[in-house]
Amino acid sequence: MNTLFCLALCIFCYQTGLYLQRKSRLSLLNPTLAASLFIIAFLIVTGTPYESFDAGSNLISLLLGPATAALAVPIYRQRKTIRKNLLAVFAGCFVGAAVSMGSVIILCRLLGLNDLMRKSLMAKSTTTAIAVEITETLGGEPSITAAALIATGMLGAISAPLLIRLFRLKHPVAAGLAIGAASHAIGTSKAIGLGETEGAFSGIAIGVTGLLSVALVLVFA
Amino acid sequence: MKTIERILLQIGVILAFAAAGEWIAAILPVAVPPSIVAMALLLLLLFCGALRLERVEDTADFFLKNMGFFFIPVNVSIMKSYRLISDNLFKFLFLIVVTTLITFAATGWTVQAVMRLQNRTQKEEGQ
Repeated sequence: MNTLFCLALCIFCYQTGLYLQRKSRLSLLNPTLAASLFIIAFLIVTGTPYESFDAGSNLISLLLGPATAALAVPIYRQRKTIRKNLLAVFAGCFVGAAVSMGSVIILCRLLGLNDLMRKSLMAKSTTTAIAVEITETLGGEPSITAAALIATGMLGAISAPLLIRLFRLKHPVAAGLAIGAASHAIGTSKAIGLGETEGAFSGIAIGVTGLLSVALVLVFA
Repeated sequence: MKTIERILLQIGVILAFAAAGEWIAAILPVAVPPSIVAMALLLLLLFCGALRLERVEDTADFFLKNMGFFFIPVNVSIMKSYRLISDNLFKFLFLIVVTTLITFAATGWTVQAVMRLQNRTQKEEGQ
């Protein structure tokens, strides 16, 4: 697929997703999810192979790097709040990383999922680059990890406002860290929309949880 | 400086940081994502005052406000990995939902507990 056509397609699908969310006022109708589904439908209907879209969309995936790096700006703006809550940040991210991995191990056993699944799902709450690295270290299958990352991230992005109420996270610092630790960068894209504090702390949680997860895997695996 | 010129310069700055992040990540002994290295580098220069916030602010906000857009290709890639999980789809989704909720609650509650504890010690020190 032509790179420029691919870019235009993604932009129009995303705009349609934004329009639908504005009209319906449903946070369940996430514009990223809607756009992705439109494109999958488009590829299936037109009989375009996935590889063709993958080659064309390279430019957008490339910009994911700078978009993540841009999180430095809200983090810098929130530096006073962060300094005040440094201990909470590290404690929360450590517990998040440990609980995420522990719950995957236990549930895999309860559900009778095989070893390959367990190894591939261990890093499901960390950001893509770290998750793939952890999966390779453990000897899992990176494509399964990728699917788990997307499902986890989208779940976080869609349900974050509901979960904040459900678990009574009254402080935006706690809400932001929970979103970032549980649902990495896709969840963070939603946290930014909730508020600057939520966005900044969700961004910090991606980095801290990711690095702590690597450390945990190195120690226990 | 005119707005368009300023924004173009900001885009250049952020792309340069992202590129530097990739170079540094490639030579680091441990696996750290290039984007996290770039973020750390940007923070470092902001904190030491070498880079002023105005130099990157507008473009960074643009990227962040539209962050969901940049995840579309990643999401579409589920077409490729779907076959690997389709046999266990229900179990897979169940595991994702339960572990994500547990992680969310555990992180949030830990943070609130630490904050409460710190507030209490601060009050006691103040008395």
